[in-house]
Amino acid sequence: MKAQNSIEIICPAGTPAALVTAVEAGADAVYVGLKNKTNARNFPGLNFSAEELIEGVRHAHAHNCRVFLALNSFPQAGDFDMWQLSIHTAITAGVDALIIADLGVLSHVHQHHPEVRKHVSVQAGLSNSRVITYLQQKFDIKRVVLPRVLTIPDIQGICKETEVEVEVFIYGGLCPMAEGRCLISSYATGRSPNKDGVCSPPEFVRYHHHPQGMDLKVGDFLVNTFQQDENPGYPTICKGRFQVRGQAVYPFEDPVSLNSAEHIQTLAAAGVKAFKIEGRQRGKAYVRDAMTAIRQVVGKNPSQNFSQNPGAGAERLKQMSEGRNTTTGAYERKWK
Amino acid sequence: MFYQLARFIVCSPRPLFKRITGRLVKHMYQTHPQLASRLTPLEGKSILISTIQPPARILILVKGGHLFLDMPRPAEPIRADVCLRAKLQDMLAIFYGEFDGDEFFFSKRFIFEGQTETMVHLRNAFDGINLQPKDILPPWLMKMLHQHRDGTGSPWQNIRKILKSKRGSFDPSARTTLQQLSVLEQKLMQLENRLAQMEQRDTSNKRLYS
Repeated sequence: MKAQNSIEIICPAGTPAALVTAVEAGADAVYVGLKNKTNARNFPGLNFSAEELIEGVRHAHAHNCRVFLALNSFPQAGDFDMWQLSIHTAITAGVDALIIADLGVLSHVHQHHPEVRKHVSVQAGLSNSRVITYLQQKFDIKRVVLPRVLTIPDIQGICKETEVEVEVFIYGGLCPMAEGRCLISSYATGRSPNKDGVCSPPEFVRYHHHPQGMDLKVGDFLVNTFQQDENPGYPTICKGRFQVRGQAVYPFEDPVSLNSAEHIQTLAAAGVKAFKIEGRQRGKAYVRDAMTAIRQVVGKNPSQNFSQNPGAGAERLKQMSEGRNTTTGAYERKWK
Repeated sequence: MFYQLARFIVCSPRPLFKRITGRLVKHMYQTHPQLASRLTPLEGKSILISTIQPPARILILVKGGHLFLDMPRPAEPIRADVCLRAKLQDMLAIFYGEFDGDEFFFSKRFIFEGQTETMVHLRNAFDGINLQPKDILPPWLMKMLHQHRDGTGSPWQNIRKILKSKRGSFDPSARTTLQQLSVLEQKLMQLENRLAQMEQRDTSNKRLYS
């Protein structure tokens, strides 16, 4: 495995081919999910079967890359078997860590598989050092993935106050809501991202093209009308455009992707251990290009060397972004 | 070169289109047998691919985990579960994972209507395998395309050499090979002629609109 004390770039891998691509592109670790609702990217045709996971782990390990399995949705009453089976599948395959959101799942893994490395998912929404330290003491968590609603000073504070490794998102799709607690998609479609692992399920998403542009509907709700000269984004209601006081505006967030590659140096200096690229739902070309562009921005070895010429990488990241637009999200936000 | 071949195929008469794509799909399933299980949830679905450049329509039906390609007649109204629109070159780039489909969607180079879940599933099924042109094209066709691209000699000459070396033999298997190669040679010649015509048409079009 790669040196444990250097900064990691963690790549999404929605399919076996994306995993291979991520490994080739130089990812330090990849994160994957199984073909069921135990992970937050439960999209049709995406994710790994048990056999594919075994092969994927073997391939990644052979190339000095770690594999984390996302088990980051929330089991409901009487519905724990699928999570239990998925934990068993992941451990059998030899994954390097489980990324968990639910306290019950965390407790189960700690009790029955204490040797397994546990990361706490962004979906858990841990936003202060007290709760992180509590989970470390209680369940021996090794890493926390911080929610994308924290500012750089917030993250610096958490890094200072906890021994648990800190991982943050650096690029990709951006939830402007409190992750793991958002109910908007559930309200519109009847299916919950937190329970079913899918926000804006594709079976509820419809695009209609007309001479003026394109209408986007989620369930029965018209979420946006993109004019001919506008670039569309993902079909999430939180990035919808609605009439507010007679004006069509984006009340929550524009169609935009997070891009905080420019802050990696600051965050690394604060003690952030790992930087994550969002996008398991995207294709292998995205994985390859995002990984390559991030490397261009931060340099070959982000723990020692930061690129002096990040321009090409930064431009490529913008091209791949939702709505072809980027934001630094909460990292630079002035309000709370 | 592969784009040129694809363009030739989508501009072919319907019977030839069905025959060629049938063989290519068969070869693709031989190289990627896991595709069948990845496509099983799409059983019965129909996908209409409408290429903008060149203008062509391809109807894909999923039956028993396999893909059946057809070419609707120009004026024929088609009922499909999802309709995808893009330039042929962009469609191929997504198909082979050279470009991310979402990126093309964000820049409106890739447009779709209909069942989003069918489109997402299809995209993920193909993106999930490392499909390369060689997985679709039989080795002899790949070799021909490479020779044509690299200018390393005419593939027809190589085939003729093989034919000549076999002519002296009366071995029944050699005779069969000889017959197969003769048929192959004729087909390849037709293919090259069509490609040359396409090139000419493409150039004249550019002149017309420039």
